[in-house]
Amino acid sequence: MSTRERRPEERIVPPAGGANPEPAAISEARDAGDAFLRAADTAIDRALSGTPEEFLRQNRQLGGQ
Amino acid sequence: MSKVRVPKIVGADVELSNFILGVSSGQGTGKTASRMLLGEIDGIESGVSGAAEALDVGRKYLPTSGGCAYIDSDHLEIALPETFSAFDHVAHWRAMLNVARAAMRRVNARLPDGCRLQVLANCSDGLGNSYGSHLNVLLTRTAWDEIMSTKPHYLAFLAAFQISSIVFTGQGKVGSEREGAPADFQLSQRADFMKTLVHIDTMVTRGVINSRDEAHCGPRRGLVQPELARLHVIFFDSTLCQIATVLRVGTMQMIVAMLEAGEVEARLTLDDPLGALGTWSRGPMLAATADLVGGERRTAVELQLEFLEAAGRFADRGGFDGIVPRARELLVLWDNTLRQLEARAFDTLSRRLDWVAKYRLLSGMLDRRPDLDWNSPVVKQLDQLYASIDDDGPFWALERARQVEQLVTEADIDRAEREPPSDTRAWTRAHLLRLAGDDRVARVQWDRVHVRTLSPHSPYARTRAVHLPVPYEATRADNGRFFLEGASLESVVEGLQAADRLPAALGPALHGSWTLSNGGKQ
Repeated sequence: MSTRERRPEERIVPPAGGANPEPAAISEARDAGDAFLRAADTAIDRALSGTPEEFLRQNRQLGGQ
Repeated sequence: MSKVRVPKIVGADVELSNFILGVSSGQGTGKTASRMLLGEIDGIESGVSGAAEALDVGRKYLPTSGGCAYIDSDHLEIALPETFSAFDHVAHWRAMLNVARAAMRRVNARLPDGCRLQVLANCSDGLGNSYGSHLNVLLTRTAWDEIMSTKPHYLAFLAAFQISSIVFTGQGKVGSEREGAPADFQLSQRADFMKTLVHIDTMVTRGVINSRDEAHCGPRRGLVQPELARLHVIFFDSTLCQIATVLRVGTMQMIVAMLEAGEVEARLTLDDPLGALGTWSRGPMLAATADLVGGERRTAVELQLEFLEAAGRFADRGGFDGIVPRARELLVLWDNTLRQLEARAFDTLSRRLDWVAKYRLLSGMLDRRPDLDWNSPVVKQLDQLYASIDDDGPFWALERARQVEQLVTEADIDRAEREPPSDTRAWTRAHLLRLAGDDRVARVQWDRVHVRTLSPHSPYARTRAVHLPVPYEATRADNGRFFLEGASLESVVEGLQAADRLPAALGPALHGSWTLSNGGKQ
């Protein structure tokens, strides 16, 4: 088993080449991506409350099936 | 396709993460949280207890949908009614999450200020503990035996499919657990917990293929033909995106249907399945390759494309007709999703796959906050919160902002909360529970309902069993004629027993016993 993998911290980026999409499709995908990221920012702000350390302490679960 | 094949009825039993913030407890709050949640869910107690149910506490069946809820190892567990269509499964999954959410809100309304019950639909707490989101698929006993006992390449084919499917079935998670190789982010939450290829255990030595053999198809084997079995699939993550969910369920229906028909391509099996799982799970760029048994190398997406092609050929020969509903639609969705994965079109995939949505959510946060990295507690907190079933959970916020593709409507989900699927035995179970009510239900299991019927000529109630051994029978079309408006429980049971498929010779032993009419639940 060998791995030809980029490090995850390099971030996922839109495809370059490959499917050779039309410029309009690229623009549409970018717009969709921007809209997602704007919604994600709002989602993060709403979701986070309290201290993360306390959350992670309380979050511990009994192993299940 | 000369082999006997059966409709690919599916179900699910899903453990949720539950805990209370603001309470200090050395033992954790899961036990209290799960019991408070279950207490807020309306249902009819199963009346079944014993060693087999040692971890399974307080099971109650829902007369609304025919599903059930209970506590398993301090987790609220929700079990969906059997559905035939993967699309209906999506609606019922969402409906059961609504049931759990309503229970959570009622509990939170009673908790003191500063305390809050949290419920997460994920499969790992990020601290080395996993809990399952199990999918159940009906198949013939013959196919079960071939997969588990007599044809190892069938098992390897199924494992290769499941493992490579994490590219669309993973919910994604931060980090690694249980001595897994280090990772910042993984596609699969369950990958670190899969310790072997096949095993009966579900809690420690989890196998990619689980060999638990509980058919829930009649009181004993061989009473109905064809003999049936249930594939208990413990490998997958919970998914919240509707397209990820319908693909997780629908593609499994198709692959199991292919196995049942003997449509197995041994060349698509992996040389080192667990190694491939670990590598592919740690590769969000989807570039990692693994060896097939023949020596060729494939990415997970490439291997999935080959499974898709095989399924397409099977579909062209009518292989899914009557076995997997809406198979053509599933194939189109599967193809479209794999093509996007192949092109790494993550801007659009974040609208349909949980792991991509979560990865982009977290990556966006890291971009904005250079003080954070993948090990930061707030990143791990957000990883967990993604699956919060509360309104402020990030997934739901994305959905409200129309950033997630929809397959089923709110009306579909609302109906699934109130009504059972019409095309499986869940329909008869739910309607029998409604008619009998809590007082006259003695016991309920997936494949039988024991009710107490009365007679004006006797002080005794008779406990009578309605058997539901065949998940694709006892549908509304089969039994709707018995549940006429105003019909008594006694007349309905008479009709259902007369239509029972179980051999008449076994009737007295299987169909009832006598108790005092004022007796309690057995």
